[in-house]
Amino acid sequence: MAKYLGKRLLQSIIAILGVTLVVFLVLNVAGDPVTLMLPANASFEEIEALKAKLGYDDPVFVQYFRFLGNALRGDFGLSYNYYQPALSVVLERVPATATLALAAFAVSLLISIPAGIVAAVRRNSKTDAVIRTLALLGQCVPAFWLGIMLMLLFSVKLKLLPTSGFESWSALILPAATLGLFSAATFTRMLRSNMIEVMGKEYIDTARSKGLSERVVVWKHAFKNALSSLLTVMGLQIAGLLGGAVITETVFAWPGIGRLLVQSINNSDFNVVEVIVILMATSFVVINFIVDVLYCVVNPRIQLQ
Amino acid sequence: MKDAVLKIENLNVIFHTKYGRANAVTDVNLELRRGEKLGLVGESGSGKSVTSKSIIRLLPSPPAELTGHIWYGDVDLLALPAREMERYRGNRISMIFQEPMVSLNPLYTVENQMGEVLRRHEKGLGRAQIRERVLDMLRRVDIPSPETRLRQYPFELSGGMRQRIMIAMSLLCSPEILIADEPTTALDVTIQAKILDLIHKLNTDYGTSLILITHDLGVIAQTVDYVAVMYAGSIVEKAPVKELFRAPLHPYTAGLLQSIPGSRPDGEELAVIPGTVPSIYRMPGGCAFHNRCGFACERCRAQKPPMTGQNGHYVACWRHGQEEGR
Repeated sequence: MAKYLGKRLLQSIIAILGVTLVVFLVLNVAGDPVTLMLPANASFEEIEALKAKLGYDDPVFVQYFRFLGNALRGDFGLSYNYYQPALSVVLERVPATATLALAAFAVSLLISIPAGIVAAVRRNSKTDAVIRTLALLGQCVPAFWLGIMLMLLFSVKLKLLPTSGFESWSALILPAATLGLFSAATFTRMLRSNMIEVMGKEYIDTARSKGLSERVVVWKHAFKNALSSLLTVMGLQIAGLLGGAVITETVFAWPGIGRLLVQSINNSDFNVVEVIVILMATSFVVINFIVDVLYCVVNPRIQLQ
Repeated sequence: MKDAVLKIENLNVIFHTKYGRANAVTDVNLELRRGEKLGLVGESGSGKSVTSKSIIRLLPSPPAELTGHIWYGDVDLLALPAREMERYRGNRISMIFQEPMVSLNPLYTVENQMGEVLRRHEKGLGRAQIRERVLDMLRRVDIPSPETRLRQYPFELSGGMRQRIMIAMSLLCSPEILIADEPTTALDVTIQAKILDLIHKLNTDYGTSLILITHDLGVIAQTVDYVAVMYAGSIVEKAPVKELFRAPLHPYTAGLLQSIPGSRPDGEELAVIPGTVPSIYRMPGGCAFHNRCGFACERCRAQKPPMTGQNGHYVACWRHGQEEGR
């Protein structure tokens, strides 16, 4: 197991390095930061002087390694917008996004696990049809529309929950529901089909032939098997929730990194964008690594190989 | 028969599918006596597995609809509520399956999966007692170093080993009836013989009655006392094993026996039954075998023959029904 995880860890590091390279190159091609820093009427000489001062006239790979070295020390340069280190600007927003993502993930699990299992166990029943339809709708409805509709219903009409804000727990409910429903729909559909597949396996017949109650057959023998193949998707979804919060955060004015990303792109605050993209990519890689570790925990077969 | 442990009366199994009604099992009557080894033979799709799964009600319903009676003592298993049925499964009536490679849950250890049976049916046993019972049973089915096996997962064991574990698991509560659905089909020939010996031995030692489902007449000849031959969902002939091999009455049984390799003198080609098993969605009228039978006459096409016979040898065929009376 240690060997397998060691290999996966190495792959993860390579993946993160790859991401930094791509981000660096794309942002370098996308625009010249120096022209943005100087007033529009700056002379050619002034531009060249600042370029030389900031090291932008060096060969690209030299710049990249300098960037990488600085990044390793946590130095991603200044935010042109906030006049603060870009990294701390982003890190300040992380707790808000993480809270939202975790709440959304919890919402999606709370909905999808019972829904997926019931749909699979009562396959082709009316309950199953309702769950399947809702899941399909949940996957089709865009977050910005769902967010606004929920806001309209619960905040404007019923006046139960705040439209935006970050102060109270009640403010978390609507954004978490908006963000979580999409994942809930995805999980429900996957869990249903996995459960149906697993329920057709012979070891389920064996479990039943032992006289086990249907509850034990479903939860102990089927669910755990169905879950192990769902882990990968769950990992990707959590990572997606961290990044996919962009729209939801904007709709609910949630002060997380998603909204910061949109603002920074609009303001050409490249250093901040750089930090956010690398952070999101890294969280993808890290979560995938965690999923691999969980696989080992769940599936004895990988453990021993 | 008063020493019958299981009596199947007019069992009919219909599957309601999107392609229509499928009569998987039609009017099956069978009796299993205490300590007896009963063989159920037939081609794939003849309804033998469905019959055996009906006994412990493993068929999902819907789509399956079961009618008739399955008497275990004076309890009609088909009339029991689902929760009640659970008390019999794995406890009084156990089952082992065809594919040992996939019959055990890949995520749990042998000890966990075997212990589960005892935890379910014999409440109040401690951890140590459960382990002792499991170890004892593993030894009885000749599993080497059983202590090591306890901690192992199914994928660490060979097919033969897994089938031994399935057998051990099925016998933990000393059931009265063991149903073995093609227990050796997926195994190597050498392992097959060992597993059959084991089943034979356990049947003798414990007095467990056995229902052995197989398409392999060789296995039947070696193992069982009494045979029922199934064709297209019905029993066409049932007889004591020696009687059946000596003097098969139904043309289908005769055809099956002639198609066993080695049943003909050297150099002669094996006999083949022409045609294929009819689809369960479109059963022919009359005798289901008539369109493959060399002796078929008008009556066979029009009317389904009843089961007739004497001295334990019964057949559903118009050719014999007449002479032997009821």
